Amino acid sequence: MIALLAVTFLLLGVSPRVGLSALWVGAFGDADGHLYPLSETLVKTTPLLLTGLGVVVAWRGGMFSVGAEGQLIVGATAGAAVGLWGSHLPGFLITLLVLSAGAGAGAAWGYLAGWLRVRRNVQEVISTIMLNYIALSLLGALVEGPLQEKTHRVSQSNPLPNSALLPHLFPRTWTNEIQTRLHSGILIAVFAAFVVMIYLFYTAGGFKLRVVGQNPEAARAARYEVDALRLRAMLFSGALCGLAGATELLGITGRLYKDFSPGWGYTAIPVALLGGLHPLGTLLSALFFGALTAGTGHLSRFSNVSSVLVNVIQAVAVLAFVGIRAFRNRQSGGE
Amino acid sequence: MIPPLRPMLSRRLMISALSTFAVLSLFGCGRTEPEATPPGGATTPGKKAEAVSGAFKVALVTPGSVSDGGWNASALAALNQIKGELGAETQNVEAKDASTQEENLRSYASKGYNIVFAHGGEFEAVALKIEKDFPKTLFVIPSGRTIGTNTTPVVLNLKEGAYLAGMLAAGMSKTGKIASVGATKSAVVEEVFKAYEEGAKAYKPTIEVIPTAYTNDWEDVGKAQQQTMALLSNGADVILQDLDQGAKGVFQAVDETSKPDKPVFAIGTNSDQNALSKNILASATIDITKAYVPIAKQVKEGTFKPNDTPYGMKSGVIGFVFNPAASAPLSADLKAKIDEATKKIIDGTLFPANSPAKAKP
Repeated sequence: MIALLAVTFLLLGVSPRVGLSALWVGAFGDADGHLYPLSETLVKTTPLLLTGLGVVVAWRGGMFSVGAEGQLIVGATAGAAVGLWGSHLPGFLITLLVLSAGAGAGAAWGYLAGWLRVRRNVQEVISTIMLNYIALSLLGALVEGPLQEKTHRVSQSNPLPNSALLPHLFPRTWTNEIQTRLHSGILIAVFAAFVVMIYLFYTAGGFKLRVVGQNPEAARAARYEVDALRLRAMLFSGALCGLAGATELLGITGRLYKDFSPGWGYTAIPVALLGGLHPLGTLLSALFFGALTAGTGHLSRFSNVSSVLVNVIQAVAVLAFVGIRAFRNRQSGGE
Repeated sequence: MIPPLRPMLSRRLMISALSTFAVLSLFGCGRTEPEATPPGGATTPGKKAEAVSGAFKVALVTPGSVSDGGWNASALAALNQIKGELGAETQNVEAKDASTQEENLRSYASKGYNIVFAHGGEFEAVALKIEKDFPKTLFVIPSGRTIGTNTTPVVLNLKEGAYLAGMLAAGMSKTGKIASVGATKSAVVEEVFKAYEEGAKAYKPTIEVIPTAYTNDWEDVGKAQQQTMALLSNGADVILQDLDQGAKGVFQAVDETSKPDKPVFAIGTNSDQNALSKNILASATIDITKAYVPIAKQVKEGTFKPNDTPYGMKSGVIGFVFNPAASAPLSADLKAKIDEATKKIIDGTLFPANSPAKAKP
């Protein structure tokens, strides 16, 4: 993978040594033990992991949802609406309300696509894409309408109260007195990975879900409630993605705005696939993507690689990773 | 099948673990904000910053590509001049969408950059939110409004140029209808179009000014082209635009529609775009270099204080350049009236779209 990246850098006219070290420094930190870059990697991992888990649950249940993005946006929007509405309440209560509103709204958005599939036989691939657009437009309309900040100048909402935001994890002393953005959302995300694992692989419900995903006919023959299980997969998946939106809102942005997500919900699909649709694999692959995003961000800021070419580098890294896995699989004669 | 006991157990386990975790992760919720004066020479409002010792580092974050030949390109030119004249170490990056704004500003500030030029009013909220974390960095927000502790707006009176553009449009229009295309509606943008209308009405009170068409996207060429086409087919024959990359769409639409017997025109903004088409009558320019370089110099010397004194035609930041290669000449009367208005604006006797009281003598 490093060799491939080095070749890419050469093609882009950047010294591979400079490029690779910029990627590394941006993702994990430099020699002076500065933890800021690592915190940024984990910051990016959080929404990728939660939405990635959402994709895992849906796809394991045979629902090929690409609606993580829309569910994330709806989650953040509902979270912000509830948080601003209840901004006079004590902080921890707002946090709880925002997180549950986010998960609830995401679940509802997922349920819509699920309902369309089981009742009207609308392919979830199509319905979730359409629901993504609706969510995006809804967000746009709200931040320029009822949820717009008080001066009505910018397409964003008022900030949520500080007391409601998720606490920062790294004390300032770890990072040369620089406040990092890392927040307790990462704990929620990692915990969610274990919850999803237990659910999928150690409960009867999860077992049935996987059977429906692998062979709906067999599931029907075994008298499983296929429709109900599909709906449940979409509900659970939507809740995770909505939670991703709410944690991003409470952890990073503190307010709602247009372009809230840079496409977390779409990256979630490669994250989940690279993780082998397994929650723990997804945890690792979300870390990989988080490091890659943080590293390439650093690269575009501190070298002369333009931000467009940075996307090329990201894609090469992912392709290299997939290639290595395919090669290993072939060698071991697996799959 | 899995025996019934196991799911029961793990479900109970799950629920109890979940609730324990929920309580734990929310415990100590909320954030304590750092004190206003962290160690190491903080910049406090009203107090002068210390002169920069050691490396002088300047970063630029643009909302779009620096190869747009306009707003963002001019910022890069200013950055390069700061590098050349003041010997600064410089870096720049494009913040492609709103969600990467904070990350980019933070990253430079965390590396101890002395100035971060966040090239657009859309960065203001983020800069004001994070400024307390980075007291040694000055965030500069063109088209901003709010003076922060170490965040300064650069108030640009592009409306002064837009006023002249309005006069020119009214004078050149044959159909008696003129129009404008904008990106996102904000107070600053609306003032530009208001000044355009004022200028047009001042020259020709009967002129019809079609309300501004907004594309909601500074960069989208296609949307700008469509909006312009719609305005042209509506009878407008002079179009003012206030876009970045999207301006190219306006010019394309104008070039396609313009016929020798029925000419239509565009007016450029933000930079001198006259070379892009012979159908561009003139450009209302922003020479951000004349604002950015002095700010950088003052920061380096330690004499800069955040302020919102507007930069207009007097400072040379805002200009109005006729296109010498324009396909239609303007009448002597029109030229004289525009020159007269220019003089009044520079003298401070004419205030398009209510220039702030501060700009008055």
